Parts: sequence; structure tokens; C-alpha cells
Amino acid sequence: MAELAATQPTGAAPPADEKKLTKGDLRRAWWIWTFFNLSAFSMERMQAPAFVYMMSPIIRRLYGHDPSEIKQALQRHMVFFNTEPQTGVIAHGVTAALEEQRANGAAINDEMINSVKAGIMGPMAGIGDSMIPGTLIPILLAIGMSISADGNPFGPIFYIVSYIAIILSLSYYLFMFGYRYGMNTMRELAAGGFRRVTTSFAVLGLIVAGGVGATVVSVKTPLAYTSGELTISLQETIDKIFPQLLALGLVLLLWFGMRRRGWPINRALGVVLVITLIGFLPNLLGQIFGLDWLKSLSIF
Amino acid sequence: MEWWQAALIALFCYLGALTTPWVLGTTGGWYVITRPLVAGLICGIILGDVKTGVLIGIAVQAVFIGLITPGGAVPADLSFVSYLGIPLAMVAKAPPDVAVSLSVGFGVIGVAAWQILSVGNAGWAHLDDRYAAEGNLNGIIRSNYLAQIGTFVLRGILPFFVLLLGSSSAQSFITFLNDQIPWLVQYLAILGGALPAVGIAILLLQIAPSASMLVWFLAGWVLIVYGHVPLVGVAVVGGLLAVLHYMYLSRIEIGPGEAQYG
Repeated sequence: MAELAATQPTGAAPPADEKKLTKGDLRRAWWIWTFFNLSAFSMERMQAPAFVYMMSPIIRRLYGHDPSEIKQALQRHMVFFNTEPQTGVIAHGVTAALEEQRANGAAINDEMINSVKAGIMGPMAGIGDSMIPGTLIPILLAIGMSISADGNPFGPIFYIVSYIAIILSLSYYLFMFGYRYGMNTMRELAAGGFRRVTTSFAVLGLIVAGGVGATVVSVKTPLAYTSGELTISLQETIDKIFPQLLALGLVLLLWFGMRRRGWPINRALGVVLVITLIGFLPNLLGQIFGLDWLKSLSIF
Repeated sequence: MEWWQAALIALFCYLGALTTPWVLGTTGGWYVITRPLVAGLICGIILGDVKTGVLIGIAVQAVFIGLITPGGAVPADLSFVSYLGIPLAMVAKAPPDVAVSLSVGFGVIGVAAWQILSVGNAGWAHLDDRYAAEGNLNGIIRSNYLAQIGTFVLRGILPFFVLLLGSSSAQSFITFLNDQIPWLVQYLAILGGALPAVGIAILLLQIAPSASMLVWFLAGWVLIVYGHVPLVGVAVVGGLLAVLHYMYLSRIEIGPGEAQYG
């Protein structure tokens, strides 16, 4: 926490002609953001208070001697800001670079800085959400879940260590990348190479999602056809042809409903509730009224 | 559950909340401490039964494996799923699939807590506007800390009392259900088995750029049900196929002349 407490720039004041951010300023800004990115989050301004806090070492270094510049900088950055907090830091690095150029007399106004921020935060929120919680986290969780399938503690430990190590190094790299390349960042991202990488990540994510789905979703039917000595279980027949077919059908039904019909998540939960309840109804009524023939008609 | 166990679990509920900075922000909190897989281990250690905790954590994690919080819109509240659902299911000695249904219920309730917080916190942003007009940087920095009051009340103090009061009745409640209404427990187990389908479908929705990409999902599914490949193996095969996918996309988009893959 020493990093957070020491927000005052250290060392000698920069010469009046050339203002330069030090590696320490940038590193401190990144640490502040890593800890505080959502701490004062609200629906109205989202991550704006955290963005200003992140900018504090940068503002102090560049405008430390000038109250009116500080005031302008604070108002400039108290505007709505929201991105995927761990990968969206490209925007923060770019902003630091722009502020540095502005402090050295470049013709950069408030609108320009904020339109660059907004131009990066949107795409990075989309890319970041699909790469981190959409792909990386499910993969690491799936591996952790399979390690701990017998209840040993090493799966969660694997997840804790691997996730923190990957994200901290990725996020730090993206922040510094944004600072180094400044305005050119978005042009590089838009050059197609990045889209190929994310689509390829989607392949990995989807295959793991398939594996996890087949492992964790459980939909089985007790239905059976009985004729004298002969009992044919529907579930056993299904398992011979395509194991986990009912579970797959349920996943695809929900996917279809959400994608084509725009179901919100609560509607999807409701659909599962209704389907299982209807299928279970004969068993329920059979138990309440003591009717065994009714129980045997239960689908689930 | 002893009072100190309830206090420790509530502390982790707070430390892992979406808006808590202390453990590496969202990275160490929301995305690590509050994942049900990790919460299962933590609750297991605190309640003295690691194996049960981890097994319940895995079962609950399956439902929420694809949970994304786009733009702060939380579809289900993982804090209460992980630190009310899992520990109360453990003290009630509920089997994992019943624990899943219980946790999902807490998740739906918890969304209200999130909405109160994310609307109420706008007050800090308004205060910050005043500080910004005064050029008061320290005031804005301070508000980033003071905003923790709301989070602490909703994610620490409230769960502490729910755990303390809930744990004494949880076990007798489940025993009562088992003896008096066995069909409800049977139904909750069926529901708990089916609910992970929602998590998987959300994941598909988020990462499949087009419907045709579902063939990759089916490939993963088939590797498990026909090939009985362990999950880590599925991830390795997925990695190899992702590299192949990148190669042929490059060949299509850049052209065979420029793409060099030997």
C-alpha cells in the first residue's frame, strides 16, 4: 500500500521548459488504477472518480505549480468514463502521453483528450470483456474445476495464482503500451491483426466452453418403457447414441432464446425453472396424492 | 456457525465485492475472491471442511462460469452467491446440487444491494464535481476511500447478520424439508443440475461472434462425451486449433504470398 500513500511526486521539480513524466509516475498511476478502479463506482459517472485519482501523480508532475491548470485537469477528467478495468488501461496510457504533450505546449484541448479517451474506452470494453471474463476466466476456472473434482484445494489455488499473474502483467504492459504509442495505438489495433487474435481466442474459448458444458450441465430423464420383464430406459438409450444430449439441447435452446429473442438472463433462468417444473410435475403430484403410475410419467 | 466464522466470511464478502479496492481492486477481489470456486475454498477453510467447501464451490461456479458484467450491469450478484449461498448451504449440509439452487436465489436477491450502491454512489461523483471546480485534488482522492462506507455496509455488515441469523436455522430448515417435503429437495436437485445450462449459454452468447462458430463449441462437447478427454486436454486441443484458426485467417485476409508459415 506504500505505492498508494505516496502520491506526491518525489525528486527535484522538473525544469520549467521541458516537463517529463517519470517511469515512477506512470507506475504509480497504474497501481492506483489497479486498486481503485471501481471503488467509487456509480451508474452516473462510473469510473470517473477513479480516473482522476489515477491521474493524480501525472497532474502533480505536469501542472504541480499552477492551480488553474490543476482545476482544468480535474474538470477535464471528472467526466463519464467506463471501460473493462484491466485491459482498458491503454486509454490511461494514451491520456498520460497526451497530457504530457499538452503540458509542453502542444495544441491539445479538453475535447480532444476526452474524445480520444472515449474512442478507446468503448472498443476496449468490448474486446476486454470478451477476452477476460469471456475467454480467459472460463478457461482458468474450467482447469481449476477439473483439478479439484475430488474436493482437493489445488484447483482454486491454481486459479488464484494464474489469474493474478496473467492479468497484472497484461494490464501493466497495456498501460505502458498506450503511453509509448500515444495516438497511434488505435490505428494499430484497428489494423486487422487484433481481430484475428480475438477470433482465434474465441475458438479456444468455445472449445473449452463445450467441454465445461458437457461436464457441468446435468439433465437426465427417469422415463422408461416397461413391458413385462422388459424395461427400456430412455436415458440409457440416449447415452448410447449421444451422451448428454438433453443437456446440450437445453444449452442450445437458451442460447437461441437469448441471441434471437433477446431474452434477459432472468428470463433464461425462468425458462429453466418452468421446463424442469413442468417435467417434474407428475412426480410431484404423484407423491402428494400417492399415485405411483403418475410418478412414472415424470420427465425429470 | 460461530460469530467469528460469520465475521470472517462477511469480511471476505466485503473484500471481494466489485467496488472494494484493497485486494488488487477488481482483479484480486471480484475476479478472484468472489469466484465461487475460490469462495468454496475460503468458506471451507473458515468452516473447517475444505473438501465440502471446494465441491460446493465447483458446483456453484458451473452456473456462473460465463458471467460478464458489461458496463456495471450485474445480472446476478456473485457476492451473495459466493458468501451467503455457499456457507449457508455448507452449514445446512445441503448436497451440492441443492446448494446451487440456494445460491442462485441469493444471487437474485443480491442484485438489489448492487443497485442501491451503484445509484447511491453518484453522490460522491457530485461532491467530486465541486472539488474539481475548486482544484481540490486531495478531496477527490479522499472520496475514492470514503465511498467504501456504502460497500462495507452492504457487503460486510449486512451479510454478517444474515449469516449469523441464517446459520442457526439453515440446518433445521433443510432437515425439515427432507422429512416433510421430500419432493421439494428432489426438485431443487434437478433444477441445480439444469441451471449451469444458463451459465454456458451466456458464455456462448458472449464469445461466439457468429452462429457458425458454434461448431467449435460442439467440438469441445463431443471431445468430452465421446472421447472422455479430461478438461485440461480439451483446453490443450482448443489452444492448438486456435493457432490453426489464426493461421488460415491470416492466409485468407493477407493472402498466401505474404503469410509465411513454412
